[in-house]
Parts: sequence; C-alpha cells; structure tokens
Amino acid sequence: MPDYGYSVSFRGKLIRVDMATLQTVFLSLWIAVFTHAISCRLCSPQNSVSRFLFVGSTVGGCFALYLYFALGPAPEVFAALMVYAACCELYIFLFTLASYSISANILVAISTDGMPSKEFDRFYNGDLMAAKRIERLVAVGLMEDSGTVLTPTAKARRLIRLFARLRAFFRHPPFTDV
Amino acid sequence: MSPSFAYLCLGLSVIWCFLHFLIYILLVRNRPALYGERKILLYHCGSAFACSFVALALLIAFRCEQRSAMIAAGITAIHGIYSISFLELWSLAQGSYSIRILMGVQGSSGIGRHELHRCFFAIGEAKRTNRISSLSRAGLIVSDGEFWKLTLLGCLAVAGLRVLRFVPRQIDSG
Repeated sequence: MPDYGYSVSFRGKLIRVDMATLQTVFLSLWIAVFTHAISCRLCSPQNSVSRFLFVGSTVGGCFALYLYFALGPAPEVFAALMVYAACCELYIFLFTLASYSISANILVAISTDGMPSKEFDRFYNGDLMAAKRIERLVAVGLMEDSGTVLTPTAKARRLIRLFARLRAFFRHPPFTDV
Repeated sequence: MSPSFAYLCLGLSVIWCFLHFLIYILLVRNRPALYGERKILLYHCGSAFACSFVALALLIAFRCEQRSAMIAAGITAIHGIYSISFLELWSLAQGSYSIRILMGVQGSSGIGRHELHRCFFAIGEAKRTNRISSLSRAGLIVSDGEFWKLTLLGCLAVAGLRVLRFVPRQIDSG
C-alpha cells in the first residue's frame, strides 16, 4: 500500500498519521453510501435499512479483503474495519432519525418559512401521525390490511416478541395506554 | 508501536465495553433513580469520552509513531458501535410509536383502521406536544402564540435533515 502518511508534532513528539488506511475507510464508506443512494432511486425507498445493510456489508467485505492483502493480519486492519462499521451504523442511525423521528418531522414541517399554529395543528396532528405510521407498517409488510381489519404479520409477531423481551431486559415500565 | 501492543489496546477497549455492559446489567438497570433517557445517554457518553481519552493518552505516552491514529480511531469506533447499538435498542424498546401500534394491533383480534387511529390519536398527540416543547427548549423552534418559526439553529438542523433524507430518498413518515 503506498505511504500517504504525514507526521504531526505533539509536545515535541512526532506522531505518524496513517492516511492510506484512513482514506480507504472513508472511500469505502463513500462507495457504500453512493451505492445505497442509487439503489434507493432505482427501486422503492422502503426497507432502506436492510438495503444499506446489504450494500454496506458487501463493500465492507471487499474493503476487508483489500486491506488484508495490502497489510496482512495487522492490527490496523481490524481497527479500520471497526471504524468502517461504526461509520455505517452512524449513517443508518442518522438517516432513520431524519426520516422517522417525530422531532425531525416536526422541524421539516415547520420549515424555513414558518407555519401558523392552527395550520400546524391541522397539518401535523395525532391522527395524521398514526395514519402515516400505519401506512408505513403496511408498506413494509408488518401489518396486513384485509380491507376491514388490520392484523400483524408473522414478521411483526416476531418483532413484537423481540421488543417485549428487550423491554423486560431494560426494565422499561409496561405501557399503560395501549 | 508493536502489533501486539496495538492488539492489546483494541482488546482492552472490547473488555471495557463488556464491563460497562455488565455494570449496566448488575447495577444500573435495577435502580429506578438511574432510569431515564438522559441518564442512560450520560452513562454512555461518559464512558465513551473516558475510553477515547485513555486511548489517546496511552498512545501519545508510549510515543507511538506508526499506527497510532488508526488504533486510536479503532478504539473509539468499538465504543461507538457498542453505544449506538445499545442506545438505539434502549430507546426503541422504551417507546417506539410503530412498536406500540404493532403491540396494540396484536392485543386485539384484528382491528379496523379508524378504530386504530382513534386508539393511537392520544399517544400521537402526547408525543407531538412533548417533542414540540423539547424542540422549543433546545432553541430550535419559537412561537409567538400564533406562528411557529425555526430559529437559526433550527434552520441548520433542517438543512442537515434534508441532506440525510435526500441520500436514501426517504419520505415523510410522521
């Protein structure tokens, strides 16, 4: 691997910054995000998290192979993979936060021009919030709409069981209003 | 820096995260006084800062010339992966709106759309009121009683949110 490193001085000590590995981490991340953006435009943007998991792990696998052949079983390879994985997780967290968080949706609804309080109450109310969530749950295959009633799918039942266990593990108090 | 020392540093950061999780299981989660979004966030931020600080201090103290930046970044990333995963699961399990709707639907033997809207209207309203007051307190939005406006900080946050939504072409989901 070519040496793109540079040295910085800290309290008289010379510290080497290994740019080649860091650059490769960010290049891989950029490739993963770009491929994800393209794939979301070619198909439906639903299930964007699982789509990024697929793209991110494929790029990550290639990145790991490249680093292994360039550096061998060096500790930098493991460290670089951890940095790549952390960046991917942060990216998933940020785009899901921007899309599904109630606070983010309120901010975007108000937008830069502002919004009269009455219009805001009409545009963004509990009923509309529930409607949008239900639409999304149906779209991602967690609820089935038979026309008259909504029922959870097998996938949703597994998810509910998982979250019930997680709630018990984290000692969250039980829901009192459902 | 020798490879064995670099591996030791990375291994210690994994052990650090494991111990942090163990302390949570044994002490933190059983104490109601330590329950809450902010307290859990502080518990993780404190540990992440300490981990990063110790890593950097060790690496500089041992006069590391090669590898130092990558190993320090790796140590911080290990804690980052652990903390983001933990906090995301914690907050989703605590009160995700979608999970609550699913639990509500499962509790009944099939429920109509209108009835479901009616059931979750109150929760949606409560969440909305709660988030508006949080955004106000954070200085992102202001109201003169009749008009909601974004502050400068709010405009910057919205610009960031729009970029994050644009990349995976996300739609508004309430």
